[in-house]
Amino acid sequence: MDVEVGVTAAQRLRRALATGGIFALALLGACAPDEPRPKTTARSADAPSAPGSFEGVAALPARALPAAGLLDTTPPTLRLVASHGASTAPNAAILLEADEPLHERAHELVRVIVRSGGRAVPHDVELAAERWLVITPRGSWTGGAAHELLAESVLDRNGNALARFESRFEAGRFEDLAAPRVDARLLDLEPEQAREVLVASRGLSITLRSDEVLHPKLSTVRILAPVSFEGRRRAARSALPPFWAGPAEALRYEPSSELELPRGRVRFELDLFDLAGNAVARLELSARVARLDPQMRPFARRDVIHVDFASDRWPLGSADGLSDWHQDLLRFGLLAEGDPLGLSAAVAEELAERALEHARALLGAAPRERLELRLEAPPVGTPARLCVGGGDPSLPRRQLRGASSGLLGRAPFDRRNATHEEQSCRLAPALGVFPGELFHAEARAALEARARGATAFDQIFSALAPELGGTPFGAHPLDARLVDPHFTLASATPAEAARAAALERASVALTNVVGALVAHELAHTLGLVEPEDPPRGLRGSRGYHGDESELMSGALDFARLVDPQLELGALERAFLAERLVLR
Amino acid sequence: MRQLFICGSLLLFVLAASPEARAQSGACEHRGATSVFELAITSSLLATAAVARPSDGPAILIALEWHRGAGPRGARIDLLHDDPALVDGERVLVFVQRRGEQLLAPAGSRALLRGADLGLAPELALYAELPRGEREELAVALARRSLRCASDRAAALAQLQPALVAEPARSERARSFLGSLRARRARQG
Repeated sequence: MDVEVGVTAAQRLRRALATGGIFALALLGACAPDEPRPKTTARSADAPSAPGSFEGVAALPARALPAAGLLDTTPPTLRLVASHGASTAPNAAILLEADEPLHERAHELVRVIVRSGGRAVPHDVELAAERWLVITPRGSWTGGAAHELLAESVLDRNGNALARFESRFEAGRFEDLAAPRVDARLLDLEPEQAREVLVASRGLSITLRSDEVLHPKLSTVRILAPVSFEGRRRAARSALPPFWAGPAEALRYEPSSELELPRGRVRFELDLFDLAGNAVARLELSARVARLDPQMRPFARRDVIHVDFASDRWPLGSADGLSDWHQDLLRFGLLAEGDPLGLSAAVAEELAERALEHARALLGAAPRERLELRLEAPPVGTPARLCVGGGDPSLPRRQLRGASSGLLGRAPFDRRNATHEEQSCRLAPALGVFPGELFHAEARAALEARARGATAFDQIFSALAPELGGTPFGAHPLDARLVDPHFTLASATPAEAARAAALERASVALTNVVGALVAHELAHTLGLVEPEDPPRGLRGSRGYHGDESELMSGALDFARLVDPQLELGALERAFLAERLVLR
Repeated sequence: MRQLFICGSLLLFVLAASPEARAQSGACEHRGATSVFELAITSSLLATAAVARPSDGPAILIALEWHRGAGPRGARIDLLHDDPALVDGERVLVFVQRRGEQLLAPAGSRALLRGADLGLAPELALYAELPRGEREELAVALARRSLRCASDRAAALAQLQPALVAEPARSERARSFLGSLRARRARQG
């Protein structure tokens, strides 16, 4: 547990709350930034301690458990990548991209046949960065002709063989003699952002955006500084593994965690080629590298967060035995009064799980094993907690046409994620996520706008939400059949299919919105967005919120919250991934 | 945190087998590039596990211990949680620590060391105690090690089957909202 010195909990809360909330409708404009509290915490998370202490067990250098299953008894799958979809220039290589690392001798053991017009086209096969078989014509492919490709015995790293892979591609008539245009970015940051921040000595990556597929065998990145790799010091410009990651159309340079950059300014030299071998003018990137002190890592300790959809605190002072989330679902029309289907608990749980899943994905840059979001409190320990549901609990109950607070959520800002037990469920000031406030404001706007047309919210929820004239899930005569275990869409009537589509659409919309709000508020408690100028902060003096087009914007409306493409900005992702050093 | 006791230890599997150790064991020699079982796991016992069962809470500590000099530090540890990992449900803590350090756990729980009773490889039974999701991943991690040594791959897989099929993967959940509700109803009969 962190020990904080010199700042009381009340002070901390008051300071941190200043800008932690989202004001969807920008009604209040009360997000005035406050002075962030000084970092006064001391942690000993990974430091070995005396025998008898739970914390005394030393951890190994962290490497994430692979997301996929670890027992590899399946062969790789392949896809053909040509320079332009399924077409290639006659002088350009094609790639077979594997979904897993290939055997180091896969290019020798594979049998590849390329035919055009019944005749074999001679070619060479190379292995690039463990993922790609590069098939280069000796001379050229047959111009203007279709080609059939057959690959047999493609071995993955563990020896599982893909027996046979077949594909086709077209070769154009004109050779590709033009160099691609490539934009290279450190940690996906805008160049001016990359210049200002300090990047951690491990985990740096370079993302490439190119108008052509790049050649993973020819393209190289050289580090113009001595580095440490696998525990050994390597001179500047040393040959290192290629470290390319896919997909080929969006190649990334991602060194393993075994590569450690030296402190100070480090330059990278990129020699990039397209599949026809055309070179891009040499690119150079540079980064200011610093060591990420273990005590300063945002996730030096595991963060367990209880996202509580069962709280009952709205409206203020009138807990009624029904969770606020349940009441939200009644208003959005995803539950019906009286629970006619007997599914209310299942619906509430299912939608909460889906919202949480979305929040997890949005915060996915954080180390997987270090951030745990859960619907229930863990059996032991004191997790952080965020209450979800209802309207702004600091306001009295209102009628539909009354004023909205415009507040969709609020949580304390926790610099560097120094604290792991934030309780974002207080009432004064109100903390948590308030989907009811969104409903209140959007429903009101929808009704007011109906003479001119339906708002996006109206289009999605008018079939369900009673306040918009809809019939809630469970109250419609068709609903019982839609949840019958034997029901299938294939045998549905048009009316059933339409009702099912409305329910699916509303469930996705609601869980996207709530998941995004949860992720936004939790991101505050994880240290986003550090307001000071880099390298001490991330965004300069823009308060605790990020770019207006991104998830950490301080003003998010329904249309953006529901958008599955809404995501954290590159700076925020780099912070959560512990790729930046904040001083 | 109170001093805990170690209730047992189990010789498990090799986390980092040195070439010397492999040579001594004579098991699972490198077969070359065409063999699935090309990486050797020795039967020499370079790793031990201990389970601490204190009485102040429902938790289990599995500590894996290995000889630091036995191979590249951390080799294959990435197949497990390579730092203290707190897992849902059973509150299992998997720690990895260097030889000679104290094995400690925050809480007590049921015995895990019953692989032989179940007729499984002990390491599989050990991880069969993990919550689902984690269980599959860790079981297969260990299975992979077993496979590398197995002279009969099918037999090895059959041995693994109880651990692998015990719980369906969470990712199998239907993605349709209504489909999920139908699945819930079907499960409830």
